[in-house]
Amino acid sequence: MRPAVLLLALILPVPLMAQQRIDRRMAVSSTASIRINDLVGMVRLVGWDRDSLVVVGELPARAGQLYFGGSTDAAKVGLEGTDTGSVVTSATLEVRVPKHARVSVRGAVVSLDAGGLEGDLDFITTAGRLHVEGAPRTVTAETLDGNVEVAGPVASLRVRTAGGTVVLRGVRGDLTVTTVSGAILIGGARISRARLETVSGEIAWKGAIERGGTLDAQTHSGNIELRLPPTLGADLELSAPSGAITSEFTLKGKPSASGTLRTSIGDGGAAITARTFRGRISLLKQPEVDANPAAPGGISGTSR
Amino acid sequence: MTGQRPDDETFLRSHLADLPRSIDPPRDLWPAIEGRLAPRARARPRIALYRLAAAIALVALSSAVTWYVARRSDAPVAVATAPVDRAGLARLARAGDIMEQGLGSSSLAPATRAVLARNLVVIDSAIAECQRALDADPGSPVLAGLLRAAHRQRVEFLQQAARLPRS
Amino acid sequence: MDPDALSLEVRRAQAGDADAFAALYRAHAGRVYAMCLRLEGDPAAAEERTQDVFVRAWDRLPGFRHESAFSTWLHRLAVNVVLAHRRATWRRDLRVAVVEEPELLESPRAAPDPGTRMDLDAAMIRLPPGARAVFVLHDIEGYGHAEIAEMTGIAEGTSKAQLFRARRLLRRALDR
Repeated sequence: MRPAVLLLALILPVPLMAQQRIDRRMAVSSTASIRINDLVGMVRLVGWDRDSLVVVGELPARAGQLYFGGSTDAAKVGLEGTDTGSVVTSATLEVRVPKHARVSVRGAVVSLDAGGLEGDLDFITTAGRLHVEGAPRTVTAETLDGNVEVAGPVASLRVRTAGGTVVLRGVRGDLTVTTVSGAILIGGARISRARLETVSGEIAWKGAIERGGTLDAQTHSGNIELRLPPTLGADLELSAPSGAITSEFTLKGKPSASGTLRTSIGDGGAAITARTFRGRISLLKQPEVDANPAAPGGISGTSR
Repeated sequence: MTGQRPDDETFLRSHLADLPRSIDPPRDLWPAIEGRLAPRARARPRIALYRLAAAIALVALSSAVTWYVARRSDAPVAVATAPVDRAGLARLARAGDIMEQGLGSSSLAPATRAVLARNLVVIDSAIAECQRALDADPGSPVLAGLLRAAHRQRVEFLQQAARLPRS
Repeated sequence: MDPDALSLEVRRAQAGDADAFAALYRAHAGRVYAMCLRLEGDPAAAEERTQDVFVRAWDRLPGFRHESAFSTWLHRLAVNVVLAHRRATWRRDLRVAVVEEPELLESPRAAPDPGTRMDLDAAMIRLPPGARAVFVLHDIEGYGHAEIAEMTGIAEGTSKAQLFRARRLLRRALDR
């Protein structure tokens, strides 16, 4: 190494020396499959109107080397040689994909903010956090310990997390959310089918169910709070063997000896099932004029 | 004689409280132990082929259980009127056990294993609680439905774990 | 080791993962060795028994049903391993019940150096084997006399007598 370079290397601050500037681009088709593997740190995923895949940003050296390539129909972006002994949080990358692309994200720890996507998004990580804004056609998210937040009229949404909290705003269509201990908080929804299950978390729902649609909410030890439009017609089956069932709607009938109440509100039509072994069930009327309809229902004490 | 016994006991109590519960062996005994383990012990997950086989087996198992669970979970949700299907519960519990055994031999990062274990404790507690309630009220379709749902959540959680990226 | 992580390590070891079993060894070797040392009274023998315990645990692990804590299961197994090894001599030693006359109590194996204050572990090692076994099982490991009788094949009364004897000898040693 030449003396001047050596001197420069010695006086430069380590983080600056260790940071890699990333700028990679390639042409892909408008509906290409884009696979993103093992990224770390903060990643912004942007759907745009161009038929190209772009990755820009900065990576610390211990994040490893970026690989980038593939064909116009199937491209792959990822990191290899990442230092698995440390948690890399200083990486910041922006990945731009055609908005109708099918995007698949796999990895251990990544914090992903996605926006502008209109295709399919598939996200499977161990401890990743996902935040989606916009209207992807489908979102499938599985993370063991990260939170998932989706805001937008996603037509089909499947979320599974163990300890993470799931917050959904303004979702549409078909919805499946499962957690072990995380809360499920939903606002401004209008669905044809929803299945919400947690073992020890709370479930708070605010939204409408299409006529003929179904809402199935189940938790073992959490409470269930359903805020429904006052004009909604639905057949209800509510089971709370150990807790109370309270309602702002007028409910006919009484719970059976086993703690199940089957009744209707309005002229029926939708089917709502709510079950909690140890918690309570509350049916509340959503305000006629809701100042913030997309805000998820909340249960006191629930951490967000 | 009996008058002296409490005195000795009391006298020793403080010494017993100070007694270390754990004493490290003067040398590492593991190499000698490892050399004596029966052939089953040689199943080392660090061997690449073993890992591959385990992963393939787990995926296959997961697919089989997925079919089983999907077949069952498409059923109507009106559990309050469903009959108590003990054989079905037992099958679901067994499917979860098999999945858990399969996962135990796979190569997950320690932090991931800890998260898995923590969440399995939550699910297992729910299963135990539902089971106790059903034992006390054996004809309750509501409790049977809740127990069945808890077992299904266990299977689905283990399926999720099987799909996680390997370390 | 975190109890949750430990539970998964147990399950992995049950499935044949030797690395998981190594982790269990690291987590429990100290307690098992301590018990073996106290029961055997000899570091070399304690090392041998500790190895035996973990080899036996590996063989028996597939049958562990998680009905008790793994540590409880392992310690009961450890007691059985040590007792099985020393059964013949221990039965004889354990049956030496001398409670009528304190003077008939056996002397400790070797007297400590004059002026040296002994700790309980050092005093225990000097106990006669039978008295030491009952003291370790009862006062340290928490077994009742009925359980000790069942494990060792002696009468409950003999167990009580040996405990009395052990406590008396230990007090004498520690009172010096």
